[in-house]
Amino acid sequence: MQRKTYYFVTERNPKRVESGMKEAGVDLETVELRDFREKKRDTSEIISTLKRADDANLIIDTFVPFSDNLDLVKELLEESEGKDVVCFLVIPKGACNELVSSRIAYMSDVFFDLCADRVGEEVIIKFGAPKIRGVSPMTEYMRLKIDASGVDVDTSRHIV
Amino acid sequence: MRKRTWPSIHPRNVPVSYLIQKRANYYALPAGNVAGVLTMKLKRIGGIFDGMIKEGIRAGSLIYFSTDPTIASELLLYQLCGVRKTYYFVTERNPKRVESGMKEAGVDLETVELRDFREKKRDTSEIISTLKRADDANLIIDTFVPFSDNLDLVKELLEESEGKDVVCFLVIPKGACNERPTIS
Repeated sequence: MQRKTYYFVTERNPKRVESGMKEAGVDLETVELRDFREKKRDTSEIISTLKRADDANLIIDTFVPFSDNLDLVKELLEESEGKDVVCFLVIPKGACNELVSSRIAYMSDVFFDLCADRVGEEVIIKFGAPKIRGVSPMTEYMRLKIDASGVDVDTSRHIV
Repeated sequence: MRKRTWPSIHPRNVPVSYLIQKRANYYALPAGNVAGVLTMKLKRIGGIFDGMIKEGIRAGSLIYFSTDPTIASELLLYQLCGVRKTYYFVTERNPKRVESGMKEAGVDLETVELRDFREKKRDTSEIISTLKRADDANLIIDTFVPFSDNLDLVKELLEESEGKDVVCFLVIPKGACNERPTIS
C-alpha cells in the first residue's frame, strides 16, 4: 500500500496540480490535496495535519509564502521528531532571500537539489542529495528525464 | 603576554559577518612566526583535523567556521567533540536531533555539555559565564547567525578567551548572514 501524502498547494492552481498528477499516473486515492493559496492559508492546519499523520509524506509546494516564518520551520522539526512522517519544503531557486533559504537548508535534515543546466542546445536536468542526515548522502548528481508522463533516470550519458 | 589590538576596520557601513570574519581570522592566526618571543600553547583540534592541521592552533583562538548549509557539515563539528570537554550551544536545530546525531557519529557524550540555546532560552551571559569557568575546552556556537548583529558578544568572547586554554568556534552557514561590505 502506498503511503498517504498531504499536499499543500500554496501558489499554483490546485486543479492544475491535480490534473498534472492524473496525467503522471498518480493514485489520487492516496493524496490529500489542500488548496493553501493566500485566502485559505492558516499554518496551524499544517501543524495539526502533521500531528495526526502517520506513515505519510507532507509536501508544501511552495514554501516561499512562509519563508520569513522560521518559527514554522522549527515547529515542523519539533512536531516531526520521532514521527513516521517525511516533510518536504519546496523552494524554487531564487524565489526567496538567500539569508533565509540558507538557514532553512542548514536546519533541514535532508537537502534535495533539482536543477536544470543548459549545455549547448541541450537542457540537462540533474538531481542530487548532498545531505541526508543519518545515512550516506548522494555523492554524484543523477541525470533525469522529465515529461508529462513522469520522471525517469536518464542513462543516455553512459551510452554515449 | 601580547596585548590584543583590533584590526583597523571601521565598523560603520560594514556588515557584521564581514567584521566577525575579519576579526576571527585575525585572532585565529597562529603566531608561529614570532616563535622565541612569545610562549604560546598550541592545542590539537581533534578528529580528522589533526591530520590536516598538524601543529594545532593557538589556545584562546576564535574560529569562524564557515559551512555549506546543503551538506551535513555538523559531522565535522562532531569531530571536535571528545578530544576535550566541549560546551555545545545549539541555537537553531533541535538539540535532541543534535544529540542523536552525535551518538550515531560515535561521540563520547560524557565529554559534551549540550545546551538548548534556541530563542526562548537564550541569554548570552550564559555563554560568557561558561567561557569564564572553562578550562582545556572547546566552546561551539552552532549557529552564530542569531547573534550576527551582536558584535559586542564577539568582542567579549575574544576578551574572555584571551590567555585561556579554550578554543571557540562560531558556526556560520554560507549565505546565512551578510558577508560583504556595502558600498555607501
